[in-house]
Amino acid sequence: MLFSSYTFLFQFLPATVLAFAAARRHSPRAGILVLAAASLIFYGAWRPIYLLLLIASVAVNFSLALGMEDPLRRRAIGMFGVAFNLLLLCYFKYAGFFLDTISSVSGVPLPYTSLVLPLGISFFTFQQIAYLVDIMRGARVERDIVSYTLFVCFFPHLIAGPLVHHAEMIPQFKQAHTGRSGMLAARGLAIFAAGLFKKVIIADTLAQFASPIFAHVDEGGIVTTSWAWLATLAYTMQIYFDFSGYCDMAIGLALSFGIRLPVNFRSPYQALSIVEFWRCWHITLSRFLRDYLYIPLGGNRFGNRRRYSNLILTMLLGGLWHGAGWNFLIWGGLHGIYLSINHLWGSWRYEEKYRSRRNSRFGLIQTWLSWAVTFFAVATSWVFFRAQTLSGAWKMLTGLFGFGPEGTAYESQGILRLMDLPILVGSSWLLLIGSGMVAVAISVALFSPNVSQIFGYREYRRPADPDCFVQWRPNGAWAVFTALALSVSLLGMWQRLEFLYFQF
Amino acid sequence: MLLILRSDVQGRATRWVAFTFAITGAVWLGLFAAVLTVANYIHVDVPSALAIKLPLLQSHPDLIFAGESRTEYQIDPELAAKLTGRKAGQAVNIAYDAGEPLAFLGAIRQQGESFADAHLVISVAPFLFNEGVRSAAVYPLNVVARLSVFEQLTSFLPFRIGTLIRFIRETFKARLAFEQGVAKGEVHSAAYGLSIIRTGEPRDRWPSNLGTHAHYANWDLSGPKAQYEIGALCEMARLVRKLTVVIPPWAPHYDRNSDELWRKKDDEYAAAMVNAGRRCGFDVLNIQGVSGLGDDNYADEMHVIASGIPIYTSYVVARLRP
Repeated sequence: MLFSSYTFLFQFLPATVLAFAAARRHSPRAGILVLAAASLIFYGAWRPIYLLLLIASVAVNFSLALGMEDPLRRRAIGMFGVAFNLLLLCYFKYAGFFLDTISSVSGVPLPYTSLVLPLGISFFTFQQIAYLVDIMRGARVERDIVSYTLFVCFFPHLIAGPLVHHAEMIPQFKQAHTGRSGMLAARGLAIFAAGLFKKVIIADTLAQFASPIFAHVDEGGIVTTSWAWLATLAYTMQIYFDFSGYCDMAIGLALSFGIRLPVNFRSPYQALSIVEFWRCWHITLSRFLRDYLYIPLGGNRFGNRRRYSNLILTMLLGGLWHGAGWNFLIWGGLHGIYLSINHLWGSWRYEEKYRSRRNSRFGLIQTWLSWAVTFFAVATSWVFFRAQTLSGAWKMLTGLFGFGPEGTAYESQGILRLMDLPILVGSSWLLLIGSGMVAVAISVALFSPNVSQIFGYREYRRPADPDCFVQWRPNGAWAVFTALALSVSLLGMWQRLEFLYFQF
Repeated sequence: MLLILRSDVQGRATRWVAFTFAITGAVWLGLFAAVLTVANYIHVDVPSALAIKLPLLQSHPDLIFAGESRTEYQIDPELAAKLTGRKAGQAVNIAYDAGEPLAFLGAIRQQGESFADAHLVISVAPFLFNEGVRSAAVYPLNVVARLSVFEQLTSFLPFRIGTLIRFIRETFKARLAFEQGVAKGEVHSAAYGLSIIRTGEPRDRWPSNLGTHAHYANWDLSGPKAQYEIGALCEMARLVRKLTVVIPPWAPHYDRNSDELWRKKDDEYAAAMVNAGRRCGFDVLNIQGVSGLGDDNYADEMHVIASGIPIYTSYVVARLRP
C-alpha cells in the first residue's frame, strides 16, 4: 500500500485515525495497540506471506532481548541475534548476488531461485540489530511486546525509513500526547501534504527524463551529452524529492498520531563538502553506519590510514545495504573515497575551517567552487546507483563527457508526460522542457528551506531547527497552500509510481 | 489559564485542519473540472486501442469486423476471408475491448474511403446501451465526451470517479495517437487483428446467472448511452456499403428459459437493435446459441478460447447476407 495511493489515503488512513482516536480516549496503551495492529495490516496488504516473516523477525528479536537480561548470557545471545538478522537479510537480499558472482567467476552454474525481496527488510533488520547491540552495550531491555512491535513495525517508517532508534521511539509510545494532539495533527497534515507534493508532482514528473534514458543505456545503447546530463541531473533530483518526500510523509503521518520520527534530510544538495552532504542526506542511515559500523571498526582513533580504510569499508557496506549489485558497491566505494579525500583535504588545506560553511573567510568563489565540486561528485556517482548494469553506467558516464563507444544513440519520442498524461511536443522541445524542469527542481533544492525548517519540526528530545524566513502557521494562507499541494497531488496520484527506496 | 490557552490553540488547530480539508475539496473539484474541460476540448473519437488497428485497412478490405471483445477474440478474419472466397487481408478484425459504435463512426469519418465499399460487421453488448452500467472499464468514452463538464461531474462523482479518470487518460492517449498518425502508420496487429484468449477461468468463477450480471445491472435503455450509440449505428449505416449488427451469444451454460430476468432484459435490448435496424437500414444478427460451441470452448461466461474461434467465425460468416 503506497502512501500516495487512494486506498491508503481514503480507506486505510481514515480508518486508522478514527480507530486510534477512539482507542486513545480509553488509554494510551490502547492507542499504541491500534497502531501496532494497523501497521501489521498495512504490511500484510502487500504480500500476506511476508507478514509472517516480519512477525517472526519481531518475535525472535524480542525473545532474544529478553534472554539478554541475564548478564552472563547477554553477549552470546546478542551475537547470535545479530548473526540471525544478518543471515535473514543475506538470504533474501544477497544470496542471489553471491551465487551469481561465484557462478560467473567459476563458470559452474549454481541452482538458485530468485526471491521477492520483502518490503522494508533492510530497515526493520537494521533497527533490530541496533537494538540488540545497544542491549549488549548495557541499554534497557523492553519488556512490552506491543511497544517493541510498534517500534519495529510502525507503518509510517516500516517500508522505507527513516531508520529509527529504539531509544527515540519506545519512550514516546508510553507518553500521553493528547494535550497537543490537534496542533500536532495540523502540523502533521501540512508536512504530509508537502511530502506528497514532492513525491507525486516533482519526483514522478522528473522520472520521465531519467528512466527511459537509463533503460536505453542498460540495453546497450548510447546517449548524447545533452540527454546524458538531463538524465543524470533528473535522477539526482528525482531520488532526492522521492525519498525526502517519502520521509516527509512518514514524519507527517507519525506526527498525526503524536509521534516524532527523526529527520532524514536537511537540504543535502546545499552541502559544500561530501562530509556535510552525508550529514544531511539519509541522516538516519549515516547515523546507523557511524554508530554501529564506523566507530566499532575503530573510527578515527587509530591514525589517518586506518580512518580512511574504515571510511571506505563503511561506505562500501552502506552501498551494499542499498542493494545486491556491483553498481551499489561502486557507488558506496566512490563515496568512501570522496569522504577520505574530503578529510585529507580538510586536514591539509583548511584544517577545521571547511566545516564552518558560510564562514566570513570562506569567500563567495570558494563557496561556489566547493558546492560545484560536491554537487558534481554526488550527481555523477548517482549514475552507478541508478544504472542497472555496469556497462550502462559506463555508457552514461562516457555520454556525460561527450566520448564513448559506438552504439545506437537514444532517440526520444518527444512525448511529455504531465501527471502521466502524454502530450506530443517533439524531441528538442522535450529536452528543453526537461532541462527547465530540472533547473526548477535544482533551484528549489538549493534555495528553499527544508521541510523541518519551514514547519518548525522538532525531533524527539531535540530542539527545533532555527526559524527561517518562511514559517508554517495554522492560518488561512497556509491552509490554501496545503490545500493546493494536496489537491494537485491527489490529481497526479493516478500514475502510481512506487517510491524508489521501496526496492532497498 | 494555561489549560484555557492550550484548548484555544487546540481548537484553532482543529478548525485549521477542517478548513484545509474543505478547501482541498473545493480546489480539487475546480482542478478536476479544468482537466475535464481540457480533455473534452482535445477529445478525438478514435481511441488509441482502435487507432493501432486501423492500419489494417491499408489492404483495402471489403469485409470489416468491428465491435467489442466478442469480435476481437472470436472472429478470425483469415478464416472469414477463406470461407467467403476472398484473399487474405480482404477481411480484417478491428474490434477492441469494450469497443463502442461511436468510436467506429469516428474511424469511418477519419478514413471514409476505406469503409465506403465495405461490409461492416459490428458486434454490440448490453453494457454499451444500458445506462445502469457505469463502471470505468466499460463505460463508452465517447458518450462521456458528449456530456458537458457539469453533467460529467454530476453523473459520475463521487463513486464513479474512475470512469472520469479513465476518460481523461484515454482521451490524452487518443489525442497522442491521432497526432502521431498511428491510424495511418505501420501495421502492428498480427493475424489481421484477431487476438486469442489463452487461458480460461475455472467454471466455478463464472457468474451463477445472467439476470443479475453486471452488464444488465440497473437496467435502463433510456439514457445517453443508448441515444448516442444507436444514433452512431444509424449514421454508420449511411456511410458503409452494408452494416450488420451482431448480438453475440453467451456460453451455453446459461439457459434463457430458466432465467426470466435475463430473458426480459435481453429481449428488450435485442428489440431495440432490431427496431433501429429497421429504421436505419441495417441487418441485426441476434445469435442466441451456436451449434457445436459448448462450455468447453469458453474462457468465461462470454468469450471463447482458441478452439471456439473457427466454430463461431464459420457460424457468423455463414449468416451474413451479401
